[in-house]
Amino acid sequence: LAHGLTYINQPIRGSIGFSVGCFLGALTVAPSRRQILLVGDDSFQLTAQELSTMIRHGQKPYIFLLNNRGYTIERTILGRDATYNDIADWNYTEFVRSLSRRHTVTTSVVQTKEELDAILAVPQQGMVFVEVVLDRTDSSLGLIRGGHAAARIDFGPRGPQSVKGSQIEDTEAK
Amino acid sequence: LVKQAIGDFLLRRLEEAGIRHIFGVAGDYNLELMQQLEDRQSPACEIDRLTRICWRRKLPVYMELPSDIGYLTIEVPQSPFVLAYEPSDEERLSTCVSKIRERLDRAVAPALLLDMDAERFGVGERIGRLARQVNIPVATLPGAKGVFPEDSTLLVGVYSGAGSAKQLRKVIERSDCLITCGYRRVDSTSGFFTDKIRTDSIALNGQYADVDGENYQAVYLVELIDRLIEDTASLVPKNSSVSRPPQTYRVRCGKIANLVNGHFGHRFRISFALATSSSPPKMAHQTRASVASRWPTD
Repeated sequence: LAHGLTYINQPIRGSIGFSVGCFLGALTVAPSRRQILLVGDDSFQLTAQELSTMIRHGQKPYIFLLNNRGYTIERTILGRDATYNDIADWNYTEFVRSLSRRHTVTTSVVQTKEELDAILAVPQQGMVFVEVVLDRTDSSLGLIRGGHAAARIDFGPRGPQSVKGSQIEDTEAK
Repeated sequence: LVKQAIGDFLLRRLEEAGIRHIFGVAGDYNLELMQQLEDRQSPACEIDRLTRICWRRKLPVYMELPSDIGYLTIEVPQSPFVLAYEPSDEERLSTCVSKIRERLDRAVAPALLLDMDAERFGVGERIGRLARQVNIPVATLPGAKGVFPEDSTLLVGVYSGAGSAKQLRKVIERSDCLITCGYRRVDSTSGFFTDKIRTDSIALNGQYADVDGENYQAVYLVELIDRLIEDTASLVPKNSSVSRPPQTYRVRCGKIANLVNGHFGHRFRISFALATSSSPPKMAHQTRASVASRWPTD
C-alpha cells in the first residue's frame, strides 16, 4: 500500500456485503479523499442498493466489481464446481445505470489489463463503475490455503473436501 | 437545566460527540439503554453515560429511542458534552510500563502485532515511533492492514496463523517479547485458529493491559504508548534485522492475470480508502457477524 493510504476491510467472520455500506460511510465522512471500492459480485448483491444513496448525494468514487460468478472463497473450501456456489448473473452495469435517470455514472466492463488501463487513462467526472470479469476459480495462494484450513475445521481431515476436484487446488502444495 | 424533547437531546449529544451523518443504525443492541429510555427514567443521564461509553471503547452500539416517548420534554443539562478520557491510574500505569520496559530490555527478538484497535484508538503513529526507537519489527492482522506504513522497513507483513509466510510466523510465534495491540482472536484473522501466540506475550488494549500474568485495568492505550516511548528512549536498539517475507499472494490463472493482485496496486499511488469484503465460510460454530464501525479518534 502506498504511504498515507487508508485501507478498510472487514474480514472478521466473513461479513459479506459489509463493504458497500461501509464505503458509503467512508465517502460521507471523507469527501475530499479519493476513494476506491473493490467488491466481489457475491458481496455486492447483498447491499447493492447503497449505490443509490451515493449517487443521490453526488459522491464520485471508483467502484471495481470483481465478477467471478459466485462464491469463489467457498470454492476453495468445498464445491469447486457446485451450483450452490453460483449466484444470479446480474447485468451489473445496467443495474447501476438504473439508479439514476440523469446518467451520472460511467459504467464499463473490462476483461483485460488494456481495457482497464483505457478506463483509468480518461479523467472522470462522476461515479465510475467498472465490472472486472475474472475466471471463476481465480484465487491467490493465501486464499486457497485459508479455504483448505477452513474445510479441515468444518469437516475434519477426512471430510468431503478430500475428494479430488471438490476444492480449488493448491498447485504449489508439496 | 433546560427543557428539551428526549429525541432532540439525543441528537444534540450525538452531534456533540462528533456524529455528522445518520443514515441508519448498525451494530449490536444495547438493551440497557433501550430499557432505560422505555420507562423514561433519567434518559438525559443515560444518553450521556452510554454515548460516552461508546466513544471511550470505540465499539458499535445500537440505540433505540421508542417513538412514543421520543417527543416528550424532559430536563436536560445545558452544558456541552465533554468527551475525554480519565487519566490512567498512575500506580498501575507506571508499574505496567516498567514491566514492559524490563521485558523489552531482556528481549532478543521483540515484535509488535497490531489489530484494528491500534487505528481506532489513534495510536498507529505512536507505535511507529516506539518501533523505530527500539527497532522492533511490526506485523498487522488482516483487519489492520495499512495501519502501519507499508513502506517501512520494520513492517514484516500481515499475520494470520497458517496463512502467513514462514518467516513472518517465525518472527511472531518465536518472539521472546511479543507485544500485541488490540489482538482479537477470531476466525479469518487468526487463519482459522491456526495462530500461535506465546502465552507470555504482552497484550495492550484500549483500557487495560496484560503483562506477565498481571491484568492492569484503567491503563489507557494512548498514555501507555506515550510513557513507553519516554521510558525506552535509553534502551539500546535491538539488533533485529528482519527482512519482509515475499508475498504469499500469487495469481493462479484468469483472463487478466496480475490485474487484481498486481495491477491495481501500481495504478493508485495517492491517498484513498478501500473497502473489501469476503464470503462467509460455512462453519459450524459461526456466529452472527458484528459490524465493526470506526469511531472518530481524538
